[in-house]
Amino acid sequence: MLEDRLRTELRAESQLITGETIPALSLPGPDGHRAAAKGRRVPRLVRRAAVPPDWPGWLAPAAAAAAVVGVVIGSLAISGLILRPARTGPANSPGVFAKVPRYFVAIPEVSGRAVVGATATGAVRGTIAPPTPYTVFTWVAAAGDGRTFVLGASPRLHRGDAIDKPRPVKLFRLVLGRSGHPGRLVPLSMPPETGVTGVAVSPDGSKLAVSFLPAHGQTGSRVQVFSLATGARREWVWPGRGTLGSVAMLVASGGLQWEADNRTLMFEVTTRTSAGWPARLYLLDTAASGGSLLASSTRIPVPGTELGWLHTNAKHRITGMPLITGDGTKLVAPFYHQEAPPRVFGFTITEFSVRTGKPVRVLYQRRTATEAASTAVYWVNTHGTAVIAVRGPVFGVQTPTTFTPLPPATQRLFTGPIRGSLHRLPDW
Amino acid sequence: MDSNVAGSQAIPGQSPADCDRAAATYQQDEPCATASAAEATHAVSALYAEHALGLTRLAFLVLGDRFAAEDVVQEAFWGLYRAWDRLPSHDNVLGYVRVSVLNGCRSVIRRARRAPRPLAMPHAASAEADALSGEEHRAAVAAMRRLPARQREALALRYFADMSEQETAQAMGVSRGTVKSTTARALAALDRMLREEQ
Repeated sequence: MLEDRLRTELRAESQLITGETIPALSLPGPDGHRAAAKGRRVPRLVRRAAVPPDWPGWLAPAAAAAAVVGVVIGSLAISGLILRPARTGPANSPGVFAKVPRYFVAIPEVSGRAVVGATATGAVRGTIAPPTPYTVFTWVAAAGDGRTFVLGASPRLHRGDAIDKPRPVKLFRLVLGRSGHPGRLVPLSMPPETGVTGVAVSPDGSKLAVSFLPAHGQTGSRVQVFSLATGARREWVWPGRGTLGSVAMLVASGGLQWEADNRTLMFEVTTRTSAGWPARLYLLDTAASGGSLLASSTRIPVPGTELGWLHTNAKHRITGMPLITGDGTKLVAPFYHQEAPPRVFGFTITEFSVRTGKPVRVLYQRRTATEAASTAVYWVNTHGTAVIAVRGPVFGVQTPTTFTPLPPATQRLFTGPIRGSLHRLPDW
Repeated sequence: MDSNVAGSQAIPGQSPADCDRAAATYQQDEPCATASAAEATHAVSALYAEHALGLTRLAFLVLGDRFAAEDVVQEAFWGLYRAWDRLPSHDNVLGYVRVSVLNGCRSVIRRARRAPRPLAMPHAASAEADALSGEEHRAAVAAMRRLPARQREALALRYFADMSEQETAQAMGVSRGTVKSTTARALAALDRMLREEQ
């Protein structure tokens, strides 16, 4: 009987919420202001990865800010640089799609098979199941050759496990055939690791960068770069507190990105301060010997007031992890700006200079009375002339002059049956 | 029945608008009891300890998002705390909170409609929850999530919280007849979807 079945399934489904994961109650303090609740959770936008139990509170502001989504228009400061909104349309679509990778790998938000698809058509080239004993893919990162991917897989949570229980991540290499058909998943030599916060494959597919939470009992977050050919490894440790990886927006790489030289790695450090969770972007020279991550890196001077989440920038900031162009000259970032009153939301995809940290061009902008036009970026080419971006609910290829939506067949592979949900996370 | 969801224990909460709607929906007919802030803190905290899990599960079933559900429940209890002294009675504050939670769920759904930004901000941990639920494919629950919000509310209250039609009507702020018709339509739609999937 349907009612009985529904009753049984609802009861089982509800067990996904356990008492251990319910946050403490936040009641107003003596001064009448709302107290911060230890362990309070907010919708989190961070990559699903092994997360320590104390992350939820840590993530709260970042997630809240990302919930605000995008911060725009480099505000009025860059108004003079704003170009007219890009044309939307299918004109010359084949040419546009030639500028982006032909294939993507999308890992499911639920346990199950990853999908290899063709960007321009949405044709499924194959599916891949997580290798036993792993049941869920947790990471996907693409090299720049359009053929090589690294996927992370983790074992399932057991009943009663906290939803945030750190789980080991085992990394596998996947190489696509000429027609995009997936080859075999090959386990990488690194043992399963817990605390992974970012994964990125160098454009030539020779090196893998992985960022980690601090080792047990220590404070420094780490970046390791592996040679995929030999397994040789170098490690850099961030001195002091701070977490590597993007915490404000879900990105496939978790915040690590390589430049086209296969040597320079961009990473983001987020710290917790009384002002909020400011973030800074750095470039690591991976040719340097391992050691101090700070000493081996140079900072990209994007103002701290536009990165991370601060109490003062909730209505005006970069949301999510910017992408760096392969030539290392530009960042491409979703930006959000809110004016009030009357309330107007502005969403852009904005280029910033890596050298100066200043906005230099707006690829797309929209001012609207609703938040329905939020933006995100997923991939950018070497010179920043093509970006795979999301405008509102639509994936497409953004150029300085046009926005070409990906075919519905492609978009259907990413989005779930419930509007507002991402069904699979793609990387190109 | 989930003992954390149903029942008639005492105490109240949410955004001002949601609180007001909750107060308007849930009729209290007992004399007013004044409580100090300390009493309110103690009573609300105790109620939270006892019922947060059940109410979060209820909100999760309606929203399909664990963190939004947790936020809604937090807001509901916070609103209860603020409204504590204004409540005409503390005899059935759980009912008050439940109404607040449902109102909060509706607010979340309305905001989501206004701001559909699926691709920019998927919920990572919801994915974990999905992963778990995916391991035991719950087709009826999956189909239920495709129903309109009101129908989801009715099904969750009737078949998860095991509430009677009258109790459901009170929680939803509608008539008993509306509950019957809403539930019937929801079940018919579920049945249709499940048949189509087979």
